[in-house]
Amino acid sequence: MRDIAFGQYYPTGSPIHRLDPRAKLIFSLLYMIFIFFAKSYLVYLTIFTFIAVTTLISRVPFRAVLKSIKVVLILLIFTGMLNLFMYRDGNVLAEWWIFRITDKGIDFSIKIMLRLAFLIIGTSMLTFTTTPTEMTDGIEWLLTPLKYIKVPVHDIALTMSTALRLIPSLMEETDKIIMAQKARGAAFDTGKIHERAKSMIPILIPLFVSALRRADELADALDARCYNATPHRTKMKKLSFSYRDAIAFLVLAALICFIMVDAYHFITPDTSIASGLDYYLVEWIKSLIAK
Amino acid sequence: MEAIKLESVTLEYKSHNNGIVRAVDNVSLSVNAGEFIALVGHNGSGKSTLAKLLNGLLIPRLGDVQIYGVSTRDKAKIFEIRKNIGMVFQNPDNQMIASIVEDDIAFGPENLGIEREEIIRRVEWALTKVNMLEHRKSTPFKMSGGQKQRLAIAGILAVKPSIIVFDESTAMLDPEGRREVLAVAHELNKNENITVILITHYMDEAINADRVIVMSRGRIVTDGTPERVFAQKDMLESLHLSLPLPTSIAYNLSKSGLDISENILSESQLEEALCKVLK
Amino acid sequence: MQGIEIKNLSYTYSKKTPYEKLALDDVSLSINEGDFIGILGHTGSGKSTLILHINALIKAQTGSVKVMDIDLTQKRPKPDLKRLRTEVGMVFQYPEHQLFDDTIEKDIGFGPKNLKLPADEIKQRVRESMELVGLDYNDFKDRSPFDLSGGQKRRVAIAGVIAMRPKILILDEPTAGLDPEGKEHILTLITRLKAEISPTVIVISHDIDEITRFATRLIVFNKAKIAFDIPMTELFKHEKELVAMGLEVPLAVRVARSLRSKGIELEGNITTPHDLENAVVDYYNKKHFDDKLNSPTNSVSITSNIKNNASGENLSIAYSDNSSATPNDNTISEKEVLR
Repeated sequence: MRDIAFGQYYPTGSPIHRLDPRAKLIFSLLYMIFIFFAKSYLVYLTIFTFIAVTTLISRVPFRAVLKSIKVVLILLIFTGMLNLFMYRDGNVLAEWWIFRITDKGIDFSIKIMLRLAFLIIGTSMLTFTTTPTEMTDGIEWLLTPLKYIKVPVHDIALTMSTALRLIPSLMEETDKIIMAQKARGAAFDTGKIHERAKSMIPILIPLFVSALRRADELADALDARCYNATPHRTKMKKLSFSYRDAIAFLVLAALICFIMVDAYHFITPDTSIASGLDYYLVEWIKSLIAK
Repeated sequence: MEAIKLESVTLEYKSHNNGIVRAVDNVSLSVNAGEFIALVGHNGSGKSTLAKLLNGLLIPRLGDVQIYGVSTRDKAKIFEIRKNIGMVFQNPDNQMIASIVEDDIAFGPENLGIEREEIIRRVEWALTKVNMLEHRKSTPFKMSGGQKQRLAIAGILAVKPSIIVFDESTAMLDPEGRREVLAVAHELNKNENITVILITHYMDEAINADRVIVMSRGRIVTDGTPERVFAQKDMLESLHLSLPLPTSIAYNLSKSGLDISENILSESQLEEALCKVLK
Repeated sequence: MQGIEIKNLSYTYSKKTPYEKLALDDVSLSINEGDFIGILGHTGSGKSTLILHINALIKAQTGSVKVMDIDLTQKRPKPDLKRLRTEVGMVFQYPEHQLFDDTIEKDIGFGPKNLKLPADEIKQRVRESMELVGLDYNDFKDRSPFDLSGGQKRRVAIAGVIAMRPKILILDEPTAGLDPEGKEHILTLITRLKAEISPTVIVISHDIDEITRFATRLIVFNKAKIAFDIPMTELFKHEKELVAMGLEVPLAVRVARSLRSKGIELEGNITTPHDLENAVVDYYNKKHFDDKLNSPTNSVSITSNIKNNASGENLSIAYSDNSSATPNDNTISEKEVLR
């Protein structure tokens, strides 16, 4: 019924899809952590290239990837604005009431928006290329150490994957309910804020009722298939790392090295807003112009 | 051999105005291994509650339910029972656990801690039985209701039960899907010697059963061969249950004075009888 | 114009994704006021997509849709969707899943309230709609719709749609998942609604034996196109096509064909079980009449005249499921004759 939405598996059978889910999870985690160390625009450009190439290899259309940003666009803009107006440091370019725009503020807010966008795209790449079952298996593996302190790791993993699996069904259901209420003359896009909020009730309650009914039936189905019959659960699919994962790891490692070298190796004077490699690039261009 | 035994089973639940409804009222029943049983009755007759009593999803307040001699009250043996008696429910969408076909089929055997190689064998066998082997790597999201329901059956089969209960498993399907599911049920009964309890609204699904059991208000009203049960037209009528279409046509014709057999259940029987009368 | 005019309509879901699916392929169709239409087809054959267009719940990608005097595909001025939705009532599959309010009265009143009708008018409409679907107003109005049985819930949901007093009523699989008794209620209700509220009724159903009982026009969808669009009485001519598409053929049509192939030439267009019974009785009588021509004691001329069923008028439902309600006023006289 509905177009591909954020967080859904997009089957193409590409090499990215065939990476081991544990590897993909670890890579995504590393990527998410190290993206926050990115300093210079050159590094941002490199990350962008990295993402673009990954997307190309995965054969997930750019349109679908961009759509995942659209979902959080408002958050993105809000964060950018907040940083833009509230950043205190740097040369003041404009000031009004409590708001102040500085050169460093502009620099900082652009970078934070880029980081967030890269973060979202990276994680959505993970969900586009990994089935919920693979994800569960991967997460379960990552959480294995917790089993020894009696954390029900498999239950947690199963809950997550079931939730992911039910998303398309619930979306379809939402569409149907919206259509049905529209057919009864309901208007969702007009009126004042509180009226609009109220107009959501005819959608939310049926959706809630339906989710409960599904949960109930799913619980019966789990029981009927001997869920929790033994603590020694087995697995049909063995996860195995392959050369692909090694290659992917090397590429990511190179990216991380580049980010870290840029962040800590090139010390730039406080007076300049250009940081990391950018500073040297700017200096070089300046010297070229001077000549 | 006796596969299922119910001894004076009673179960109540609270209704909306705090009254007490006897969903199953003093029901005794015995099913032999290998039987194909159709359990019919209108909504609220207690047939689905009965199904849930069979695999211990519900425990009777009075009486006892035994599967191959094991009582569902015996908590230590509940998984032995669930291994023996599989359940296919109404809504195929709410029975899928994984989003790739073969992963979903493997879920049951994985829960039982079965070895990897054996799981793979069972997944292949179960998918072959329901004619879905070529879909093993696909995702069920865009499949037809009949296909999804056959996958649900395969998921149950992989546990290797000796009894399968179809709890209105055809109610949400189109005629094609209904035919597919019904064919699988009969095939499993015949070739795998699986005891089948088919719970349904559709009377024409009951005509090929070995036994038809009619429930109303939590009680078993009648229990016998399809010929015997569908001959009791007035009783079925008083319960607002329909006759299979061929039976009803034959019945109306015989009421109009045609000399036509009362024991007509299937279309071919109707044709034959009409030929005889009209030739 | 009071009907619906659809021209060259095409629609594709999830364009440019691996899930892309052509749901309607250049479909043209006109529906007249007073039509009683059954739409048949496999899941995914395009029938549901078509009816969503009629209520502007999805926008036409190519082609045009005109409902009464409202042109849904015109850009400017924008079509009056609010009026459209009062004229076209839509009962979705499993409509009870859309119930939401805490009392039945409020839930049924949701539609009229959206129309901003005065309170007493809303109340009046709720009461009438409830009586129409067979729920006593005083008994049920304050109860929660979630406490009802499956069949009752569905009737509440249908009441919620007819409270809009639509001229065109569309029902998608109205009997799906109900038990025989619930089905009978809904089928009787549909004929009643056609007579009293909505002159034009379109029903989507998988069950051909069900459709033949009331609809007078049959539209069959196959692979995003209209395979054929015929008066119900001509159904028997299309048996082979139905089989080729993997669709069900009514039992009566199959039996009649089989009997004819064996030399028993039943007369008339046989679509419903009722037609079949009539034809069989006719044939039987004729045969016996011929046999007894020589006998001077039997000179009664016999014709069965219970044929109004095929036209869909004057229909008392509860047919195959409840033989006591069979509209066989003539049965007794025939019986006597036969004796």
